[in-house]
Amino acid sequence: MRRIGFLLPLVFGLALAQYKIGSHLPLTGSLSRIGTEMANGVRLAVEHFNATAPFKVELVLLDDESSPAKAVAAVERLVGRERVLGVTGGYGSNIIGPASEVAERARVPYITSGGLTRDLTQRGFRYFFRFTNVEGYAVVAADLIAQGFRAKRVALAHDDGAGGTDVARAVRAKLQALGLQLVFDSSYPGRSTDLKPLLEQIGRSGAEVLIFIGYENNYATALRGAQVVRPKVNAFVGLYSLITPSLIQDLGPLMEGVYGTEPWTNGSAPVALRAEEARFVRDYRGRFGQTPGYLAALGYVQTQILLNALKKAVESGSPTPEAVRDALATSQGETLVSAYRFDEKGDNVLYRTVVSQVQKGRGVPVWPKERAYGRWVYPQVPWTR
Amino acid sequence: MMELFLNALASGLAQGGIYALIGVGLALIFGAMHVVNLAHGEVLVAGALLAYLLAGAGLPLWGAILLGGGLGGLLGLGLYGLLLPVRREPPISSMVLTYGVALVILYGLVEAFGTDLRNLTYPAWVRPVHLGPIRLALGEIITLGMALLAVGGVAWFLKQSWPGLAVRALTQNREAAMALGISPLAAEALAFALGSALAGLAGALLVVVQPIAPMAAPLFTVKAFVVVVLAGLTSPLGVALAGLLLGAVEGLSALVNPAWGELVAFLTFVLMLLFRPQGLFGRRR
Amino acid sequence: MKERGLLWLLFALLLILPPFLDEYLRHLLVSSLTLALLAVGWNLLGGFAGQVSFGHAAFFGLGAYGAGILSKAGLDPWLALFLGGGVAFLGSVVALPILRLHGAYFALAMLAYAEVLRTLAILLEGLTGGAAGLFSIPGLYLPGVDFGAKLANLYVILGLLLVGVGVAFRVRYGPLGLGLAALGEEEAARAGGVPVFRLKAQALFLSAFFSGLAGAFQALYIRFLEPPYAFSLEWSVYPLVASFLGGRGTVVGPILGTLGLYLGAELGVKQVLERGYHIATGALVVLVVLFLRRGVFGFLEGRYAVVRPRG
Repeated sequence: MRRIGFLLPLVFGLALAQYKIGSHLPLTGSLSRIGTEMANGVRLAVEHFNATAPFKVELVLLDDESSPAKAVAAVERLVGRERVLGVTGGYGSNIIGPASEVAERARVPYITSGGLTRDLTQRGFRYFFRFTNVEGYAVVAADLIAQGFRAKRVALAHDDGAGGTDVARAVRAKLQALGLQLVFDSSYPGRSTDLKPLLEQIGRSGAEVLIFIGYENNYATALRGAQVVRPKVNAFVGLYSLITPSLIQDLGPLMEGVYGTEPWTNGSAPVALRAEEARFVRDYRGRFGQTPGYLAALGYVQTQILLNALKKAVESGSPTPEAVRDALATSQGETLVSAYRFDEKGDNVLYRTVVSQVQKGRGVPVWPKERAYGRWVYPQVPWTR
Repeated sequence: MMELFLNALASGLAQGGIYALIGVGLALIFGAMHVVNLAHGEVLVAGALLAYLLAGAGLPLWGAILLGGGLGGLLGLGLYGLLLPVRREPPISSMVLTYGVALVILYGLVEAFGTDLRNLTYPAWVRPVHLGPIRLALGEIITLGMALLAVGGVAWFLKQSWPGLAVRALTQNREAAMALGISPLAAEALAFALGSALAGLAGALLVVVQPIAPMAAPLFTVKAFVVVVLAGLTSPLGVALAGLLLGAVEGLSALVNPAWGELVAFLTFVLMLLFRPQGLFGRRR
Repeated sequence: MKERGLLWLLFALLLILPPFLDEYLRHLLVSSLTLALLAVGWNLLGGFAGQVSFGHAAFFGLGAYGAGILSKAGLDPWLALFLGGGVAFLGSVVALPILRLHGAYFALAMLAYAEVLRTLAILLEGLTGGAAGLFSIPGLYLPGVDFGAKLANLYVILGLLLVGVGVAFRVRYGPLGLGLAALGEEEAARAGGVPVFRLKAQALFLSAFFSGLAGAFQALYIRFLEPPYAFSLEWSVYPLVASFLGGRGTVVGPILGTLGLYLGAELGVKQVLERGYHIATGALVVLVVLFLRRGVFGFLEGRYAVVRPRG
């Protein structure tokens, strides 16, 4: 009797995995490094959920190959054949746009933290939810400069793509609202291999702080060029995806002292969630053999939110995509990365990022004070002035 | 203003050194075999990644760079071997075959190493060097020097050594060379190996001064062709000059928008092919 | 003519199947049929006229941006679709001088042409939206028909492909085709009074139009464009490889090659080799070139080709 009793929950457990959620991420292609890390976070969230929930959820993870057309195909398969109750994932606004459209048509909720452009939440969609947004970055960065550094003159440089232009717009607005002066404000072509002329002009503009928006290759090019040009600024503040393991490894001392926003780093979680954070880091290391970065944290957190909404829908008796959507629309809370509450456009109006400074080769959260782990050093740049 | 201009020009020339290398490499291959080698950029990236790995593992930088070139040579030989069966086919077959090989190399590298940017940073090499109003990173100057040295070496080799002479003869007049008893196979293999070694070397040098991602490979292939067409059928020094010219144009256009530089480069490419197929320095056939 | 029979069968299948397929498969078909149209267009020049172009992304991109810009400007999307093809046609008129070149030089010059257009798309920001691209392009529309779903789009691209195939057939087995085939011995042809350049030009114009049509459709389907996407090397290489694999001298070859490559990768190889199927494609190309000189469907060329394709 006992032996059978032991088997029964197992059998029922397998039989009960009738709830599915889906995810599409760039596991191959130009964004593969980002996609694979996010995917790990998503997987871990599902595993943690299954360990404590009364039912099992199955994750269907598909590769969108960093391509809009393949992402559309992936989501078609998820909402069509796999009949998922929700979709978590996507990276890159140009991919999330078409992909989430498919989910919207199929009336399946879609949650993401991989695309910052404004028009993603301007489409009047009911099923689209975005955890991160540009305001969350701009506000925190601007605050640090105005209240932390107490600087007055700022230079702003951004890549000319859709994402960079969008973020720059938000940053510009926040800086002006805080009464700071933009002494230099320009875009640069995303494909540039030499940013020395740009840095030269910034050096001559009289700026105290440089806010630099771009992708990894832009940061690398800029920081290398800055070693030669040595612009006379007091701080280099990069926005998204600056403090990454590969850049820190490759650029080494060229990164010392730069600021970058990180949605999450180990130790930046709100105090009340430190235990959960420790568990996340420990289990991630055990499962994937490396330390999680903020991409993994984002994948983890957005999936958590989706799964909690799913749980609500199941418990209320109607495990349908519509019910999951309604649960998402009314949910709010705190996560390792940020607080959340979605407005009617699906935007997380409570999103706030964290600014870290690279100190001794590691990103140390320094702003805002509630999330800080260390103290910032200002003025400091990786080149001698 | 003048300072800005000179600095942009200097940066462009430094980049042009790399173009000179890959241009000379491709010119060797194209000259000897008339094969449109679409895998040239992939060989460059392979050399870059090898150098990155070896240097990261602790090998002295020069060793890593030379081995990057060596890998290029090996890949060139392999590619040549695959091309042997299709020698008698129309050129399109060879072209498509090199494309297939390029795919395998590129995605093989991506599979093994990911799409990350790779970049070697040596503090000494990143330091600025002042030459009057011009400020360049030491690394940029060194890579330019190395590139020109390599090109000079190839030029010497082609003029002063027997195997080199064979390759040159083959390039200039295939029938006559064969009539003189020069084995086309050996000479072609040499040209391919040497040309690809230069590409691998270029990649290894590049990874020290610039972030390189595997996905940038096709771009380098295209640029190499621009250089070759710009120069025409001429000595390595002529091709090198064309490479530097391309770099200079790109560098100056960076002041406005790099897209301008690319526009000028490709437009010149097309116009050259149409109105001056012998290039800037070649002789009319 | 057995080739015609094969084509009718193919179209009948593609006409009947879609209502029974799910959205995912329908989307795959739309994508692959768009590529097929591009390949058929490419083959008019690269297969029938023997001028292998490595830059048909130029025409694809011109069609895409043409349709995209016109549609965003408020023009009726159906009109924008065909005018997109027209823009590509105009682009081929500009490229006419390039036709004087041969072999590798022609191929590379076309590649350069595509790159020139790509950089222009970046620089002419006011017109094309620059590097940031064009968003939310108004797509095809018919009252009562849901173009958000894949079915309607599928039938549109199928219709376009039908037209393309019809034209390709006329070219291949009509007077133009015979003339082009004579280009196999160009000097003799010229001596014989064949207007070599005029024939090639006609092939170029038609090739550009249909490749542009494919691009225009893509723009109205995906509804988002940016220069590296519209002028991507993909659009230049895919039709070349597909036609090569499928048989360049035929009408059906490019279609079979495209469907085989695309659907084979999506439904077959990808399920097994989760990543790295590009490597398989590359290896396949190498093997085909080495061992199947006339293409996987080469028997079609051998058995049914009235005239041999020019090398």
